[in-house]
Amino acid sequence: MINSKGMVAQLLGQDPGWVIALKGLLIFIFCVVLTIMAVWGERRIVARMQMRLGPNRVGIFGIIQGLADGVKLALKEDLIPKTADKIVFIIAPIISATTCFMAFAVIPLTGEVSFFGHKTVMQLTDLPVGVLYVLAIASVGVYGIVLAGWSSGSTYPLLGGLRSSAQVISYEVAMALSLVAVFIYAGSMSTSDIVVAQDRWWYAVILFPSFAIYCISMVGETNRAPFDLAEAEGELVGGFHTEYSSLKFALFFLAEYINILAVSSLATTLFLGGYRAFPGLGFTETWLGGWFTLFWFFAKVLIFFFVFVWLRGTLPRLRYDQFMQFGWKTLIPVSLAWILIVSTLRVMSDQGAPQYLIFGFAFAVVLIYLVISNYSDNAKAKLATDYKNFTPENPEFPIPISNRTEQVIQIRDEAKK
Amino acid sequence: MTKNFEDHDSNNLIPRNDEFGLSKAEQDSKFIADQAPAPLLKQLLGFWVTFKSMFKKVNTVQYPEVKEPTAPRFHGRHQLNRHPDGLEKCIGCELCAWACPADAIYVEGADNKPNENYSPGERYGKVYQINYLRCIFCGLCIEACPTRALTMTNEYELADDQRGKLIFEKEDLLAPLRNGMVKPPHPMYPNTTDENYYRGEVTSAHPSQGTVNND
Amino acid sequence: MSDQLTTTTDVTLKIDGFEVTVPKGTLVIRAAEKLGIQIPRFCDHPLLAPAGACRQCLVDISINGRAFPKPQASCTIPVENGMEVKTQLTSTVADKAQKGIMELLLINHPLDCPVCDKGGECPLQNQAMSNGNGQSRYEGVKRTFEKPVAISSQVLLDRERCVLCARCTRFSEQIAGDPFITLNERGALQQVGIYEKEPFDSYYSGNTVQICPVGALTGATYRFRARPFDLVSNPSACEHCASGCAMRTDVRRGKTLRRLAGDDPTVNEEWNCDKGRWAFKYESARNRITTPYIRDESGVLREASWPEALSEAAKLLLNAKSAAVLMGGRATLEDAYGYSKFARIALQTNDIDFRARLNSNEEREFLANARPNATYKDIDDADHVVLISFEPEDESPIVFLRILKAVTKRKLAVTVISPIKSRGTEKLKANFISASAGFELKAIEKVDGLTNRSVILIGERALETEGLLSSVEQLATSKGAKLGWIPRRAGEVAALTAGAIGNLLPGLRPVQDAKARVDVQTVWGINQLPTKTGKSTDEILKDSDVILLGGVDANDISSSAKSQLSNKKIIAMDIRFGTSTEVAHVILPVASVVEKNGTFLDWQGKPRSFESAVESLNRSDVRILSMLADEMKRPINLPTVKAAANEIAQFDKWEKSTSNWHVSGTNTENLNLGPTEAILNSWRLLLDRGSLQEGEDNLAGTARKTIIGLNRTKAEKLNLVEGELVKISADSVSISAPLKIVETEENIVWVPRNSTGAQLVSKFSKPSGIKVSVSKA
Repeated sequence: MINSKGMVAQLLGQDPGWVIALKGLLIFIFCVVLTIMAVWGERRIVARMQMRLGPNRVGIFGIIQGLADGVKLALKEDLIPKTADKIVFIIAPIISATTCFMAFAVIPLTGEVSFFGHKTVMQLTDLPVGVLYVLAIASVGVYGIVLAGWSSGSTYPLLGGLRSSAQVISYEVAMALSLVAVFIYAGSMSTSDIVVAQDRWWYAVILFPSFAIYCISMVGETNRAPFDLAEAEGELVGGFHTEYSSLKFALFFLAEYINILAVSSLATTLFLGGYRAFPGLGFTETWLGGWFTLFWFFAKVLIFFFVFVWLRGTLPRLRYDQFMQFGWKTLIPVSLAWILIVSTLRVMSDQGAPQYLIFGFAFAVVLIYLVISNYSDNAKAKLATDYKNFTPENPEFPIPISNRTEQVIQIRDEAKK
Repeated sequence: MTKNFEDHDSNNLIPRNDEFGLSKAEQDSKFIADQAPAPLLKQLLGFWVTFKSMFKKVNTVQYPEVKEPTAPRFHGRHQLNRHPDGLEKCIGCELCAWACPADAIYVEGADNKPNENYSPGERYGKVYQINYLRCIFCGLCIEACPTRALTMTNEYELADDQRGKLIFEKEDLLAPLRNGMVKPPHPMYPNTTDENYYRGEVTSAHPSQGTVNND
Repeated sequence: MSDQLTTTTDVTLKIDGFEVTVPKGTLVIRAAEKLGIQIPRFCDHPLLAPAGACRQCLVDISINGRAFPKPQASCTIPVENGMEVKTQLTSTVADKAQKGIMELLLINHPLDCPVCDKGGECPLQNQAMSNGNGQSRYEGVKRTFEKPVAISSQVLLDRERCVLCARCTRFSEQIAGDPFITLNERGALQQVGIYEKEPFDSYYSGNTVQICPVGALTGATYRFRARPFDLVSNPSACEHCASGCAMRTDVRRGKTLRRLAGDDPTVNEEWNCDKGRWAFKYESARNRITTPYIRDESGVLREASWPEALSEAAKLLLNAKSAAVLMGGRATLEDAYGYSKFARIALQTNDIDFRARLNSNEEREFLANARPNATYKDIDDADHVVLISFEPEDESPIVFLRILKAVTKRKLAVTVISPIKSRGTEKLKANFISASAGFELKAIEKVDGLTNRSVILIGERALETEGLLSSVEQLATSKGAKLGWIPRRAGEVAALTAGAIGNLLPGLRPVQDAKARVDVQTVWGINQLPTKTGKSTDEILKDSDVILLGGVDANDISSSAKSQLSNKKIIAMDIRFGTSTEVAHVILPVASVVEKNGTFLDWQGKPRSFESAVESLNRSDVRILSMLADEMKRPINLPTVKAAANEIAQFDKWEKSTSNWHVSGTNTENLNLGPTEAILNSWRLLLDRGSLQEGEDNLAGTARKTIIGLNRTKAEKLNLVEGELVKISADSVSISAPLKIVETEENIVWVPRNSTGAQLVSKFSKPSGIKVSVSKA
């Protein structure tokens, strides 16, 4: 039973080599199988949301659809465009795929279990800076996209790649900022320690704004709907993976799904208590010699996956400038403000401030928010009325004069007549 | 404020949020991108809609196990009809080829020899081809046919794997020979003209026309 | 329309409020067309005299304010000053009248449009839509006839559809002079009919099919074959005779389906003959050559590729002791030019002759030196036309129509010097001077009344009498009359202009003239041209050892031509297998007329260009010759028809060179004929066993029967009865045919030259002018 910090690191430190290798292999297989099922699952779920069945021809209920897709991709003609940079072209999907797998290295899948007679945790390794490692790996993963887009030697991939990478890194910032609150509360960046720190309250509850920001930014990070403009077919053909076919495309495909699973796993670990059972069902954690925790972990990841698919089936696509604006102008400021509040409250409680001070501080924050929002509303209204009364002779604020301005003035004058 | 679509300023010079203080009715009457955003809970209702529809009855029809029947006047494969005594109705006039907007029909007419008629009257369709790779199933040819020789059946399963196989010849399109019909060429019904056939006054074959089909 | 000899004054009138000025005598309907106002009509035709039979073209007319009480047929009323015409566009009375006439016409018209050949190009359909009521009020029974009736093997008559416009009867009577169809009966039962004993035996019956405004007269060949929207039409030129008719070739899916007469007022107006209209099946016949062939050592023809065949042909030609070119008279101008240049540059000889037929040296001199200058217009303006050794109805039908038009309209005087009085001569109401082949010189002296407005037309057959061409030319020059030389084939004048003959270079430049040679050398970019006058056809057949044949049939040349050819090495360029390919060592396929571009020159020398109507892999003669010359390393640089045409255009006009070329004829008065002997005379009928008419049985059904024509006195002397089978023989060769009594001289027997059972060129030593014995068969 893991219930204190540092226990996991100790446990893992004693793993013999074969256990580590086997764990790595199992994690790899686990990821790939999950991807294949995810392909099927996504298609069927999104189909049901659209009042149709998904694929149901290939196996019973179409279960091996993902496998069929994989085989199909493998058998396709492998094209490398003439203007492409061959080496980089081939390396880019490898980078993408590899980094996704690597993110799983620090995710605790189960609690303490007996693995072929050896007592261990289903986690490949435990770094004291585990989550930082994951964020670093995700940043390296951006290389895959950027290099893919550039090395294709074609305009659409280049544009798509640039957009994708810009999007990913901006949401990474938001993601990282939202995790800062978690670190403050958990006191550690090690994944297993964070799981341990959630034995009273899940961070999804007490750090709800962080959780919300993290959920939004994880969707943006993985280029999924509604933030998938960079790879929407109508906009940029295929984005950064336009020129890819056959197995290299399969790698990107794989990378995308594993990315989804990776960020979901991270969310589970950091906010939903990892492999811990739902509140009240704690007794199940010892079933099957501890292996039942895998089920809990799995269930939470699947819930996240379902939410991904739900988002895709429901929301229309956001325009690129809209979501970049959202990421930089909304998420990050909110994140920063929240971090400020959290850290202040934390310091106050650490330093033993009385309750009323803490509540007073919280109340003040709320008051300031209301005042600011009211002021901003008024400012917007004034701006609007100012525009209505705008005359070019005496502008109250400088406006760049262009042809369009004159046209607008003309249109409005004619409408007045 | 005009309601004209063209007047909508797409250049963001006039800010979108100039509707503060407007009533809901005024709001709803504006161009959709100019309206204020809905409250949060209302927006989350969309998720409930998709979630709910996961449990609704699916629209999928499991073809080919389940084949939904087609409407009675469905535009399917063409058929060249016959008169009750076996003579073909098609007179090779090429009006269907004329009407076809996709140039899918090729017709060559020919002379009926005396007492060796393929169709009542002087002229019959010797070559009749419909290229189903060009046909758009619009039915203009059926509307054009003066003798109702050309009609459409409800058969739509015409997919094939070779281009040549999808050019249907006359034999592929002719209606089958039914009981009581005589296989052409054979003489017309005694003492009739093509007008009698057209009016539907010939309802069966006469023994003098040949051996009647009985299978 | 209006006779060019009378002066015209202009008349101004108003139609639908628009003013128009037209020559006096113009019909109102023509004046309206000048303004772009189309008045519906059926019986009216600009080339036929007005009839006013159909009454469709009714318009409201008033002259100087005084209106006609009833609407008038605008096709019969000539214009007047101060006339105001209101057509259906501005007058409700005229509109109602036209609608009423259309309704009446449609009452008895059968509902045949789906099965009628005219559907899609039918003036009745179009005008019923534009000027008729939308609905019929007729509920009775339509009158029916038995249909269709074959009035000849080519033309089918459907009496129910006839709108009684009388265009066909008027055409046959006025233009063709063959009044074999008339309108019989009256009232609702009026119908077109033929005279019971005589079918519609006219060489121009096809024109009635073309001018019939409904589907009453249809052609049996085109019956039910296609609809107008299937056809791709191309303007083309007729490749049969030298009349130079403009044609319209209609093609469906790469196959020629019909050829209509095109509109060229200066040449064929809107008419053509049955041969030009219907004899086109030869080019899709089964025995078309599609690949080159080489005859191997055992004498068997085997297929070969183009490079192989060309190298074999080049080898033969380069190793020849004396090579020559024999081309037929059916090549286009560009192809003939190719042959001409090929002979001079690749073979370095002048041994080329386009006269793959009977020929003579006098004819060669005549062609080089005489400059025939008659045109169709000259016939229109002539005061006297003389036809010598020329049977227009058989040898150039459009010239016949032209002369007949002048005879009908202004009683032109025609003199014919010919063995027998043919039907054409009778129709022309000509002064007939009978003269057997070989004896025309005497007859020429009987011709009088020649002025500088007269036209003398001499046919190809004149070469068969020595001295005839010379004396006719001298006659024409002395009287200042216009001379016209009319060959039988479409490509002969072009071949002459291209220099495809031994004594001429391109542009009628004599080979013996140094300045002419320099001209040609400049255009061709070479230093030296062969200076020796080339051999003629007969000499080529005798002396040359390798001959390039371009569209030649040995049976056209003489009876010994085929055996002469079999002793030589032959390279045959032809479209079908025939006599030339039987003896050839290398066979190269060429394109037919519909598959290539080209230009034909008619007998006047007027060019008519045409483009290919059908896409095919066959190449034109000039292209093959260019490839062959390249293979022989003596290039002629004419890879396309356009290149040839451009080069031809670089030649300036050559001024005539005078030289004394006339030959005096021998007097063969005394031929010492026995009582059963006669002098053989013949000419080719329009429809006979010609190879370009193959494949068209319907047309062959209208050909005139083979007969042996004798004077009545002679027949009685020999105890022969008309219709009896008679034999003529000479040198152990004989032919038999039924006897017919014809108007001719006593010592003349006449047989068609190339009809069924009588192919004279290949059988007798000469097809005309020899003694033959006549007896019962």
